[in-house]
Amino acid sequence: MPVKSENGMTDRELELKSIHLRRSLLRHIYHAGAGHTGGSLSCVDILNVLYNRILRVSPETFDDPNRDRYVQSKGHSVEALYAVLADRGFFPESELEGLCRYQSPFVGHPTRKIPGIEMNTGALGHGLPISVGMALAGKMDNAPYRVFTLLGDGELAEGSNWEAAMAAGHYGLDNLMAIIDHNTLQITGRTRDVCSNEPLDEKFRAFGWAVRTVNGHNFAELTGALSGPAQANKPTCVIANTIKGRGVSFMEDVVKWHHGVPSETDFERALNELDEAEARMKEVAA
Amino acid sequence: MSAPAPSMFSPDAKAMAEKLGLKMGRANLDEFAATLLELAKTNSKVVAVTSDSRGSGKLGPFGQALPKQLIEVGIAEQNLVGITAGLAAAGKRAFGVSPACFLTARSL
Repeated sequence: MPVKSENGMTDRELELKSIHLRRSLLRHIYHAGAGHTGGSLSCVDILNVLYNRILRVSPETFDDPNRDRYVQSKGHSVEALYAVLADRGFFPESELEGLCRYQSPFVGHPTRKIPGIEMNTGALGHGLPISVGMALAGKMDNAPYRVFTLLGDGELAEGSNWEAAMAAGHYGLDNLMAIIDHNTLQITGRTRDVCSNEPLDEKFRAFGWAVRTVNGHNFAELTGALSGPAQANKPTCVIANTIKGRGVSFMEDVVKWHHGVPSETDFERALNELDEAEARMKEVAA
Repeated sequence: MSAPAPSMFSPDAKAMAEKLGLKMGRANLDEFAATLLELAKTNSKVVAVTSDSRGSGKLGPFGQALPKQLIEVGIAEQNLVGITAGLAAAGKRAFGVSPACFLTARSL
């Protein structure tokens, strides 16, 4: 059953957009010779839903004190964020040709110099405490805005996340939503082998959060999970089950693509796969 | 860490100050706490964040007078710094208050 959003985009339209976003982020990483490929591919569908269905923010309203806030705690997946922000018109896509180039503001992690980015991140474990602060301000001001933050699952080893989770539960911040890009991989390998954090859902519930678990590549499920707090007077954690490297067959669920950069051959193969996926989708009636 | 710092106004300190012709003022921390309370009374955007540190930070009176303008995070200095940053980003004049040794070494 296709889900339409306020701006009228169907799931199918979002899926086509995700193909475009994947092409964009891969192209920029390839040309820059640097980037966090796997984790950008795993979270781009989440960002697509956030920026095209959920977040009440736009290039025109970015200074509005009542805008929704998004903080990317897993800052290293900035290439996905850049692609989505460019697509939404926060800045021209052509500026991404400067990614990681000398004197370009488009560096390898989010900074507030870029239109549309709320907070500098990259040192993991910062986004959730910062988001708690923003959500607290919203409650103090009786403001209508919501605060969303995206975390990696490897990132959850950082203790500051759990301090923030405890505070969020204590203060009942139902204007706060933490999304976990649960792709189960990090630099050293499978997270459960490096430092296991399972069971994640029980941990967040124990800290006083309401938890939803979804397929992080399914637009209807993501939309349902992100549309509103799961429970009154509790912050919401959305555990999005994702595949690192999703969308490129030889990158999916492979550790080395954490910050592997595609070679010319890899890049061409990846583009072909995305072209084929797009063609298959367009054959099916809308 | 709720015990106040030892007073600088020991008999020896007072004697030395007199000898040097210095006038004793109020301790920095007391001055800070009183000033912050004055500012917060007239500007509701001023908020303080404490990590079980309102005692050491002399912000007990602040917490009693303006409970909605004090955020308590418990003994969690990393969280204190993050939350202070988030409050500031959302338009508050936020002051994170914690003993210097913890605020630096534990939160970085």
